[in-house]
Amino acid sequence: MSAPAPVAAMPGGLLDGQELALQARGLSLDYGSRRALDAVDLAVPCRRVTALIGPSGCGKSSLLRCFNRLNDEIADCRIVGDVRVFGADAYAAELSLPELRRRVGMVFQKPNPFPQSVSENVAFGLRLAGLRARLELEDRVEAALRAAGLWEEVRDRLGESALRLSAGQQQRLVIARALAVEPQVLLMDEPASMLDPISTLRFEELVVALRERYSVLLVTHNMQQAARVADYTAYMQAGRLLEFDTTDRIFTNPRLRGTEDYITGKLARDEE
Amino acid sequence: MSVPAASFPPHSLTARFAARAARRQWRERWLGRGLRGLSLLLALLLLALPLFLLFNARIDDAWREALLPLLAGSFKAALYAMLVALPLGLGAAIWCARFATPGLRGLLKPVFELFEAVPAVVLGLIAALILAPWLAQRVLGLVLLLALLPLLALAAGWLWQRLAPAGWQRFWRGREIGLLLPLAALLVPLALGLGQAPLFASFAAQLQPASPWNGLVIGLMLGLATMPVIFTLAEDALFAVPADLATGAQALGATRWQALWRLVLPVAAPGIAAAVLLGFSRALGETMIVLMASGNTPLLQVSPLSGLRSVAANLALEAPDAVRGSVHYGQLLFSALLLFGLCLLLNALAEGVRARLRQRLAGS
Amino acid sequence: MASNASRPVQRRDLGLWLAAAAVSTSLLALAALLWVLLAQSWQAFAPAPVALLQWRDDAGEHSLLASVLAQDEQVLIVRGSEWQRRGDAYRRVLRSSLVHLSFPADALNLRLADGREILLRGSEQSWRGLDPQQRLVLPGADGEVPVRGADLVEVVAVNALSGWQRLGTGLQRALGFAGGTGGSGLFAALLGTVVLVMLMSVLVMPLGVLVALWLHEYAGNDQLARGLRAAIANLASVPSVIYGLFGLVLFVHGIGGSLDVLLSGTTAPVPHWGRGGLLWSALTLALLTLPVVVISVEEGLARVPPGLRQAALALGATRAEMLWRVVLPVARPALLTALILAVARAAGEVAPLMLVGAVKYAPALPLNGEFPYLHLSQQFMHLGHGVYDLALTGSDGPRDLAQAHATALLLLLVVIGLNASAIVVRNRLRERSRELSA
Repeated sequence: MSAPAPVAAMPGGLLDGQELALQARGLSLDYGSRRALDAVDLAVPCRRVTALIGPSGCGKSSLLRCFNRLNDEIADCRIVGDVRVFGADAYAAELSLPELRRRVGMVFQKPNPFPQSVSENVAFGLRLAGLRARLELEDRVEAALRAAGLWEEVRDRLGESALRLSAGQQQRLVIARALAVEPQVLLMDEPASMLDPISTLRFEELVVALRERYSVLLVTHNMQQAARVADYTAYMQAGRLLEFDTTDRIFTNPRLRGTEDYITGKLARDEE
Repeated sequence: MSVPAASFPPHSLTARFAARAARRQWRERWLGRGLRGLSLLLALLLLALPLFLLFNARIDDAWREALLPLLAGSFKAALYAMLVALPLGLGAAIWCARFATPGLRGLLKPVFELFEAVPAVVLGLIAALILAPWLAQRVLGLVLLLALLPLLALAAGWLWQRLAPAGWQRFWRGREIGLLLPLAALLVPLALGLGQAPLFASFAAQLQPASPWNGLVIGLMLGLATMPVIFTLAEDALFAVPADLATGAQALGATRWQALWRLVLPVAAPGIAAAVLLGFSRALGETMIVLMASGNTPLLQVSPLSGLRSVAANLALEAPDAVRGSVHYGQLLFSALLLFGLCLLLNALAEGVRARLRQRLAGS
Repeated sequence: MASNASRPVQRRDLGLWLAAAAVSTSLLALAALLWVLLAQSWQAFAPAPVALLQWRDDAGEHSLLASVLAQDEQVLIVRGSEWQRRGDAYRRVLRSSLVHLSFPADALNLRLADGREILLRGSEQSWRGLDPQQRLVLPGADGEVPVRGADLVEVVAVNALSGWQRLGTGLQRALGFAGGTGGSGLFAALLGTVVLVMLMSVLVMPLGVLVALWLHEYAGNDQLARGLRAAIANLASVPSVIYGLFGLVLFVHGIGGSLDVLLSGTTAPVPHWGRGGLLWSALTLALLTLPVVVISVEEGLARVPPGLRQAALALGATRAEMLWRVVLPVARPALLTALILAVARAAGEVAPLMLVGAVKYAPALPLNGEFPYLHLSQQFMHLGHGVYDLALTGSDGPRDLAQAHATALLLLLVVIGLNASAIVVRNRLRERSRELSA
């Protein structure tokens, strides 16, 4: 591999001088004979929220899962191209996959807490690091829950099954679980699509707050959400990344017709 | 909402993770290898089983005399069992899967599943000690019962459809066995009594079995034991056929039975065939019932009123005392190998037709 | 749909009545089987009325106090006092030769520790509450029979019992039989069965779970996995007696025989490991139940929601950690189902055991206080095998046959209970996996 390029080929020197968390260059992905990503270039800056929008099935989730290599779990998935996390090749042979995934946390569309207690859920990753001391575990669980804005709601229910929390609480629990292992990047795959409006609002506030410490790549179907929380927005269609710009410009003055159609709802959007 | 600035404990986790990375990786790798090694060992063991039989099996000139009656006995037992198990198992499967109300189906299915779990030795005990001596006096009655039962069912159905008010018919729809059960229970003493009537005495005398432990007893009890096997598999196959297929046909005016016969049965046919094959394989290899209630006479006789000795029962009888390495031992192993091969063949055939059912269901 | 029912007679719909007849017949047969088993078992324990019989035949006039076991128009089957040994006092008495038949209210049935029953007339109180050390002399027909108080297990004034008392006495006897250690008790067979099944579980569960894990989580579709899958699927269709033969040839003669040579240097005249025993039986049953375990564990693994696996991996868990910390705990009810099904299958199997170690009478228990406590190479007694033995080779006629039915009933209850609980656990598992993925 060649030395990491400091900046991806982005239009107008958009990200010039910014530190990059994630980069993909010429990234193509096939499921068997079906092409899901076609020569995608993307750069995600540090400590910013980048939104990924586009019609259903355009490859947003596939792209997301290249950065923590969750696509490796799919048997007939082939990947060509360059994926970098903080400049390091994510597909290097000597790379430690668990370490990569620890640093690149992920939040899924459906809240998926383990069928254990609230605190055990958050402590899951910590136990992988060999943490056993009760006090330290408790401290870190509390810190993670605070960071996810859930502490006040569950401080008395730490021993309860996580499955008894509401959907919105479960989603924030899952974020706390990801934060507990001290990631640098958070991948979010339509994390608010199963939440009611109030939970969604709380969730969006959380994402904005998380921006101070983490780089966030957010897949969303909700245009208003992207407009509210994202600094940058990328538009994808049919496996290609068509446009990348600041959120303001994407929503007020997109360069491409397709982007505009999608944003204004002319292109069929699939709200779930 | 304001989120407090994250206040993590000062020292980061990175070092902790790094310290454990090597150990975790080692575990990960060796778990995969260990599991694979274990599976390989198991595969070798499974392969060794038939090979061990093969190397120790021996055939000599006398095998024909020794083995033919046993094989014939096995087939005789299995065939008579199928005569009982097929109508009962398939009929019950058809009823449960396509006609019974959901509640009734939820009740009947576990009953038959539990029936399948009844230990063979229990059935063998009843066959040998109770059924055999009881039946020896009542063969004619049994024949009458078997002949009259379907006639009774048809007559009851015909009268019911002709005479019963529509409201009653609607209520009992899917619950018809509730009507039939007491009738059948009444028929049993009636038919058996008729069989012992002085009028038929000469007839009954001809049906007097040579020994109480005979093919008839085996057929009945082994058939009952095989019935739930056939029921479970056939019921699954029939139930898997989408309901709208039959409902659509009924909307076009077909009766429930016509919808089943013309549409559902053809789709489910491979599954039913598999059920029959596996049921036959089970009957062929069943040991305890045959061992206890067949009389174990190694004679070539087709009549259901004579005894038999099957390959499986012969193994259970003779293998414990066979001297290792003797001709007898080799012969026993050869007969076991034969039975093993037959069952594998039937299983492979059943798997083949079942794959066809899956294709059909996926296609429809 | 409803309009269908109000239509005039549809003769073509009669076929479904045939199907209904099949269900009815099966249910009737099932009910008859259960009834026979219950009735026969009750016979084993019901206190039989004691009759005073007097009859005349060529040898002269006889008088006897005897339990009436069965009767019809021509004969009575009775059992008198067993002065010598159990099962030696059965007798057929022709009704035509009877001079006198009565059921005296003061007839007593004494049961001794060795299973013998002595019939006397007297007061119940005088026989109850004897000092265990006290020696008695029973006025036997062929002389006097010395007995200690401790030998006296049960004293019942049979003819004076009310209906409920009869039931109570019968149930008490049944319990005594199920737990009894004496010549006629089931304790040895019950213990043999339990130890065998536990040993089998210890062998088959780890193996089955690990192999299922490998097949479902690691193997994908490689050649070894395909072969193993096919082998396990076929294994499920092999008759159980063939497993017995596998066990006999491979474990008993193959491994056991070699062990004997290895340990003693020569072919021992009396084989120790090279004959049927507990370990070989457990191994054989483990092989027999392996397909059950692998298949139901695999089903359980497939039911673990994929979201949980991905969550664990995304947090940086290795595959091993994901399996150990998330998948296996969630699949625990499936493991329980697998275990119950395997135990239920193994508890009812008899045919393979006849070849690899179950015997009619084993002199010692497989698990006892003597070092090494668990005797792996020893032959053992077994419930199912006991049914077979009592039924076909019992020495005590009616009593053994009735006890065979009682043993069979116990076996049936154990197996049906296990299977029913497996069904319940599995249903709960399905509900839970639906909850998790909802």
